[in-house]
Amino acid sequence: MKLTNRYRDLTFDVIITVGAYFGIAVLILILILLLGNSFPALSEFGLGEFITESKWNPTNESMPKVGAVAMLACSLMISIGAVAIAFPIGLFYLAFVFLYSPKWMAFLLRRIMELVGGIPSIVFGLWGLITLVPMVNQYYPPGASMLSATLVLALMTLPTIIISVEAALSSCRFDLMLASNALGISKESYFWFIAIPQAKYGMIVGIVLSLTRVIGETMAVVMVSGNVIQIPGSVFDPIRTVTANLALEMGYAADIHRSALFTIALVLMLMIGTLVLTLRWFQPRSFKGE
Amino acid sequence: MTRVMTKVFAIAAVVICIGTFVTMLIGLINSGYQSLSFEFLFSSPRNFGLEGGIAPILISTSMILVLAILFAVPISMLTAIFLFFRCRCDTVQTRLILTVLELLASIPSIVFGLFGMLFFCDFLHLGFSILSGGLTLALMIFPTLCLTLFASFLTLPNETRMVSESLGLSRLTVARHLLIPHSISGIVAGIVLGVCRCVAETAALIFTSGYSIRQPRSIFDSGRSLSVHIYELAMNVAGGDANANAAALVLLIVLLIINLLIFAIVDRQPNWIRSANH
Repeated sequence: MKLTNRYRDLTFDVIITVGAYFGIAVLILILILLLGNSFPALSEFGLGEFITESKWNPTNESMPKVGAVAMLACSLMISIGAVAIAFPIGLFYLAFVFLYSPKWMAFLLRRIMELVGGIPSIVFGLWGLITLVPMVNQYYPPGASMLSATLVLALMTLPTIIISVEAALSSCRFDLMLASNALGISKESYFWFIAIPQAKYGMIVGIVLSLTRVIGETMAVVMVSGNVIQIPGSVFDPIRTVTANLALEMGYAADIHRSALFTIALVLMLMIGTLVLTLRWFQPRSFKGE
Repeated sequence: MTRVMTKVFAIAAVVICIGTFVTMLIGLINSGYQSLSFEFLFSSPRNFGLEGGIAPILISTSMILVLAILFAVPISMLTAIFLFFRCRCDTVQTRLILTVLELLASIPSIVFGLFGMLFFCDFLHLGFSILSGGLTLALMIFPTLCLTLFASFLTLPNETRMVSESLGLSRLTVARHLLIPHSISGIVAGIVLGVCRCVAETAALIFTSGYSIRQPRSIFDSGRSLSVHIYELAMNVAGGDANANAAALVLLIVLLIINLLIFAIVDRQPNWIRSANH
């Protein structure tokens, strides 16, 4: 077996470098294709109309409207709502795991969340469609509403939040726990006032990343949100998000309509990209894969 | 006060979480198990999937899956190996690649679906086919897989690395004889998690691999994946709920098996594999 070979090493170097730039090439290709295909709509309406107008009617012959405000607002509202519901529940779930459960139970509770995290969104959507929507419908018809969508998304994002917050919490310094034990601080106080402030950064990362996941969620939302493009008057009104609109209309869209859809996909992508980049900007150096 | 409140809320949170998920599971099993049978798994769907089974759908799902893994693993491996050799010099290059991977990982699957439709179906003239679907999924799991593999490579002890460099071993040798054997369980776990994400994916496949319910004859045929089948039955076929539930049950069982497999592997691994994938 020959272990050193300058020529082979060089070839290998070239190959892995090419491989490393594959990701960048894909990102650029995605941006180019989306931009290229949204160009007709962008040049006809301008980006301004997409982010200020709330009426979406691109197939109208005389007065086409391509406002995405209602859909963007709905996407943001249900995502933030879902995370706002899931985060406190997740935090208390973890409080139970860390403070009160014996070892085998903590293990089991973690495993259950990992299993639930693997459930496909389509199954959550199906459950929402068959169980949750009729339930809401009994009290506040039509049932398929912003509320149902938020609840299903909250349920979906719960495992993600629990797993990332748990990772942040378990990387806390062990000596502080020993010190707080020595001082006779209760474990609850340790959890709220020492562990959580320490894990703050990791928790924020977890929350923002699950927020990006939730904004991008499509199938579950299509199935439970009612799919009416409007700014909802109450949580019981049906809504449609950006991703749902893409999934529902791309199948039959043509010409300017199709182009408008690519534009809102681009807007969505830029929104999520900005979130991720902002997060990375504030990331402490030592955190980056060292 | 803090103690009592924390305890009460913590117990309530656990009861809510576990309760909801158990109710959900029972509901699915309840409405799905009547349709679930040996025949359901091994016969073709009739009447838009209202009758008959899911055999061709299972076949196209596995074809899409195999293609996605086949394309995603080698290229992620290359990127991860590159990052491993360069990560200690925190250059613009490595930072750029890591940032791009994070950006790619955050792109919604529906946008990947649209990209797949534009690039594979239209630009490369592959049409609605299993190949387009597989390639799109490969791109979708590529960034996460890369970051997982990279994280598992980083568990190689620093001493080993230094010794290998002081011996003047070539990078290829280090990669083949040290890096990959050392982190093999991490690599397998990462790939299996990628499989999970592929099986669960719907949005990226609607516009790339199509809806065709027939038995695919080659990878250039259109084929419906299991999750797309559930979506179609639940949304677009009246009265398809029972079979949608049964198909969802099949999907859950498949995922459960895969997950148990991961637990068997990941138990010997530190926490990063799980956190990298959520």
